[in-house]
Amino acid sequence: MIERSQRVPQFAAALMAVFLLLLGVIVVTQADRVYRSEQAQRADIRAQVLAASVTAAVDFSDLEAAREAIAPFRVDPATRVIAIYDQSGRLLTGYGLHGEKLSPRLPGTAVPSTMSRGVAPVVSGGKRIGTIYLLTDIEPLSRRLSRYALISVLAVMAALIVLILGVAQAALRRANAELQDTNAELIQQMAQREKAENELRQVQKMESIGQLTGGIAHDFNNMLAIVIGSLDIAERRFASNPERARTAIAHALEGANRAASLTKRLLAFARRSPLQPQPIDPNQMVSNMSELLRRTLGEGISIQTVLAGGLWRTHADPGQLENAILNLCVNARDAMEGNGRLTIETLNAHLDDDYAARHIGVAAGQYSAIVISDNGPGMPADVIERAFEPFFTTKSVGKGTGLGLAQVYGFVRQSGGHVRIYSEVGQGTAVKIYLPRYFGPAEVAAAAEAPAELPRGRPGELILVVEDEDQVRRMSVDALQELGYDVLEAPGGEDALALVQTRPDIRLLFTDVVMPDINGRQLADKARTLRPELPVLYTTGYTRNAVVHNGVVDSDVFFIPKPFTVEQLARKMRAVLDA
Amino acid sequence: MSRRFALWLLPIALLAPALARAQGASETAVEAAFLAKFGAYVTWPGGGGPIVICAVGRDVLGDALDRATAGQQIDGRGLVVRKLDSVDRNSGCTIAYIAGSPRQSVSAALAALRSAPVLTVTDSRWSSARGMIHFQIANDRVRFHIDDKAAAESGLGISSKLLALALSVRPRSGR
Repeated sequence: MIERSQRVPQFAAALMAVFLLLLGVIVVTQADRVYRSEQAQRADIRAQVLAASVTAAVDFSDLEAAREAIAPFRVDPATRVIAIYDQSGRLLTGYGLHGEKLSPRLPGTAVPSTMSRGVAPVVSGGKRIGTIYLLTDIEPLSRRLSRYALISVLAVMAALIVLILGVAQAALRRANAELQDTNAELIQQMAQREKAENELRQVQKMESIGQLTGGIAHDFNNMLAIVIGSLDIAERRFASNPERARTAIAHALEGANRAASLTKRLLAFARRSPLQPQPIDPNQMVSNMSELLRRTLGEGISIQTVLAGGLWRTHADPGQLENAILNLCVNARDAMEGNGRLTIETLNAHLDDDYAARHIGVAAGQYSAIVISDNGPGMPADVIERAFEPFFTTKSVGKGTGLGLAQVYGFVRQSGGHVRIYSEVGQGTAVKIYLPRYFGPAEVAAAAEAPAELPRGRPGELILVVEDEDQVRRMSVDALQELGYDVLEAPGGEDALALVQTRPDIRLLFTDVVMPDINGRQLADKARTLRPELPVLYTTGYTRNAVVHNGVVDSDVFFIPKPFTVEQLARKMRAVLDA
Repeated sequence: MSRRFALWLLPIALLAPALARAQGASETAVEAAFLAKFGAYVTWPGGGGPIVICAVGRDVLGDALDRATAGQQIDGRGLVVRKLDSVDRNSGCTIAYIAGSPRQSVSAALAALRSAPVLTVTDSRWSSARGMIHFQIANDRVRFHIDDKAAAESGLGISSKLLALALSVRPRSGR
């Protein structure tokens, strides 16, 4: 099809050119024919003029007069023959010029192509008395053609222009078609490449999901083994050996707690942990942690703290930050294999636009930084690259979950900060945590000393527990009853509202946030239209919901994250009721 | 020249009458032929009808005129030959060839036809008096003089083509 579309203009142009040339030839031949017939007509007219002027001379046989009459026509250089013949066709008189011979008899109509012939009768008294015969040169063909040179040149030029245009047009079309082909090919290649990239990304994603699930399953299995095994022992020894059973239950509880902490860390990495950020002075935090660290890290590690003066405050969840620092310190200790120097340094940092441009996900601005460095063996670049991946670990099996750095990474990112590892093999490792500078009021939370005793419910304090999952609700109800509260329970929002309406003695609404029909927030709002002063305590395992936005709990609500211990619940409950 | 020769050597001419007759016969035939052709170059007032050529006086043309006019027409007009002793304006002539006779001299004939619409033709061989056309032998050829003035006075028009052949033309007044 392209071939054909290319040939069409060429063919048309050639046709047009031929047509133009033909037209030129026709015009020229037509003009030539007109010229020749005009010449012949002129010769005839001259013959007629002559005939009229020699009538009397012929009539009266005055050949001298006749010769005189025709003599002026000799002046014309084109004249070849002027002759007068009598009525019977015999030559009377005449001139033959330029080598032409006079024919003694009147010649026929045949004339050389270079000449035109004029014949006119000499008539007197209505009678033909003779004939004038005239032969004149017509311009030679070359001279005639040169007169048509302009039109010929124009025709040839027009034909050439048309041809050139046609060829150029065809070439343009060909180039265009080629360009289109190339373009189509390019687009196809791009699509293929994009597809391949998508496939690769999908493969990578599936790989990391596999790694993640594998890791979770492995760790959970271990913990479940502890829980199940211990509970099994407890059940069997419950009657015979209550002491042993209690020990077993304690083991089971420990396993479950470790499972809970695993999910907590997973959530932290996933940036889904419900954070309760507060203004923090990192210097104070590091100072407060030094005793804990000394105990945790052991004798072999010397700890040095370098605290910057005038350090900016930041805004983060203090528990999570402590956890992160602890994690990094433990990692450092493990890297140094229990012997070495650990440095904790705080400093103000300004990350400029250039830095922000070079590191994905970093906003330029002021940060307060905590740097934990060791003089251990360091890490090669490929390990640094993967260090924040969950379940990626260089430790031997059973030594670590591979979630420590992932948790740090998740927490810092969720807090709007940035974490970097600087390390060289043989030189040690430094991990820098950048947390955004906090400009709010300086109400640095003092770590509240937890009272030794569990606060308990007072008689008549009626709690409404709303939870769509039966087992969880059962657990909450048991725990609250254990703590001495009176408890009502509802599996969903509607039942709960009915209870709120009928039981004005309910002191507190304890509700899950994520529920199928109406969520906890909506339930609380409706309940408050009935009982505006009713306190509400929310709980959830998720972070993206009506109460927790982007992982941060609304500041005007009471909240306890799942899973929680009886102790945590007791303290929170008291805090809400006494608020 | 022929005439001068004839005049000068009249005795010889008389001695050789046969030669002279032959010469004269040829000139006569030419004059007769001319007479038959003049009609084509002359217009008469009124016009129409046959062209009547009158041979007035002595019969010098003989049957040469009859031969020259036989079966001829000029622009559809027939040619008629009449032989007359004398002529006047009522003789019905269109062309009068006046050779003169004892009864009526050439001059008398010309006087009789003055102002009449008749083309008068004279011959230097027979008279010195001149009509509108006056034949003369020049270079052995029959030529003629034309008195266009006289023709104009008679209301005749003579074609310029004919005038061009004349030895001399007496132009009409105003020309």
